[in-house]
Amino acid sequence: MMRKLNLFLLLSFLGWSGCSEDSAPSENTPTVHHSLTARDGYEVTYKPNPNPIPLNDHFALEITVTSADKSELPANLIIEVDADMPTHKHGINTVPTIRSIGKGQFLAEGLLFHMAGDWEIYIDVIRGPVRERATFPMTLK
Amino acid sequence: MKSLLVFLMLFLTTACDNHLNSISIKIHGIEFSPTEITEILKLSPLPPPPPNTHNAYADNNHAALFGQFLFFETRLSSNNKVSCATCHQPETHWTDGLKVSVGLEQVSKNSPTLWNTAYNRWQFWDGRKDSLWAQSLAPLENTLEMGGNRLKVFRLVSDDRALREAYEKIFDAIPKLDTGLTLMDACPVPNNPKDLLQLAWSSLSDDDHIRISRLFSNLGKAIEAFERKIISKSAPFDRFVEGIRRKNRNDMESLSSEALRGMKLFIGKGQCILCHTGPNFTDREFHNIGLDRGNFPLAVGRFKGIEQVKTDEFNRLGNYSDDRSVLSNKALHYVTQKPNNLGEFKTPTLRNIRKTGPYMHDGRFENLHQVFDFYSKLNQKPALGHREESLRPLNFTDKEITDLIAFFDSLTGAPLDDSLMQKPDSPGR
Repeated sequence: MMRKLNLFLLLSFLGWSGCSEDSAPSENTPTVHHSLTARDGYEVTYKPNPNPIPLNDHFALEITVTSADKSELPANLIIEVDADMPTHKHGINTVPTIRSIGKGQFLAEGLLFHMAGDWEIYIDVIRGPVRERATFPMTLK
Repeated sequence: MKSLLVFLMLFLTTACDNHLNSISIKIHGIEFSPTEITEILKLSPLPPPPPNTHNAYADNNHAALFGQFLFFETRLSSNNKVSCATCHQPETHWTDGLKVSVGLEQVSKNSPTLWNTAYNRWQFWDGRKDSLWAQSLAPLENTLEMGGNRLKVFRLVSDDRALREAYEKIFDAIPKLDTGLTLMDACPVPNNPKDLLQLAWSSLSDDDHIRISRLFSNLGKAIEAFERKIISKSAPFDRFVEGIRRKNRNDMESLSSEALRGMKLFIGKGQCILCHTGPNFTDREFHNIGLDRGNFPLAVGRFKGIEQVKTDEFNRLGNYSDDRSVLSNKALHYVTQKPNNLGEFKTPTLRNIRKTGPYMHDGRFENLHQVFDFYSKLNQKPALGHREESLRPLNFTDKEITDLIAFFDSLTGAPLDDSLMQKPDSPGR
């Protein structure tokens, strides 16, 4: 019985593989995203989880911040994350929570993109009174 | 092993859908591009309702029967004449067919259909409830709707033998209250500390508050179990999509040319699909489409709804939820009131939309022609906030509107089993 099931699973998997050869990627492609902040002070990287970003479901961003000139990262950095659909003039309906998960590493949880279309993700790096923004345009299908 | 099997089968479906994405299809002389096919495939089939961990009885058939009985039960109202079914009548597709509903008195909102509410992330036009069980409790105590109160409900279920037996078969034994039998009516009235019902509520012990509210919330959970069965699927559109998947020409050609042209407008020029997305034809969120105030009370919409749902004693993170974890309740945990929420209302499902008018939160449009005329012109000044900026006047021709309505006709699903359309003989079996 188990052997038959394994054979079925194998055939199923091969069937899927065969189908996928012809298919063009139609969904949001998983990637890691890099950007410099507006004043070039920091290099910001984010990786979504799940990856790619889902339509109308919650996701998180794993964020890494480094000094653009490779110097030691200042202590006490604060991160804020937001997102907008500029052509719609509205953004997300949530405020993500941010927590530090290591030196220069942060986890932003609670984002949700409820519409397909062009979004911009904003990651602000804040040190005292100075706020620098990294902007990541993306299209959600 | 079973889950691996399901996983692989899902991969198979997705992979074969991907294969279909690369071909054009011509039906009744109307060509659908690969991009259009991709969008169409995302709209069907409707999956089973999402699992529900905050109501442990959501898929309990005994609870569903009990909930169905309660749904039609007029004794829950103050005049023994109003029930949930007053505004959500099965024969009018779980609406009342009125512009705005009338319970004990007239309210300011159109009664939304109950079709497919199990898929909603938020309930009510402004999303002030985050579950069907919490939603179903609100009209019971609303003075304009049913005018009941939770102590009266507690007494009714305790004292009526059939209700008590049905309740105790599903939930726990009904506890005795500290208070004597002289007090019959009480409930919280948060905005009016001098209200007699609030004063009576304040006189009860904290333990009685919990006992009464626990039973009350359980009734909501039973009603939700019933409402989760009000699912609309198997519409002509679903047969069409299945036809594409199976390359079955008969099924593909089962829709009229008008409906096919309407479908192209829906995902193309109209861009209706931006908000009416997925197999239930809604993004489950809120938008300001720029309706004027008209002759209606100013409606703040989602802006106030967020404040209310965050502080609701029956929300999914509250004491009466069966799963209070943040992981299961991200929507409520992370949602935050923002200025953009002013004037926003929930995107309704389009399944059975031909049968569930009048339309909009205040029922201002009697028919779909008026709805499309609104989107054609967009000549109203938003009552509050700003209109969704992606909306532009669509200038639909009369022919295009006819086509769109034909497409919407194809979203009318198969009727429910008669047994779900009426009050059962008994609340339990």
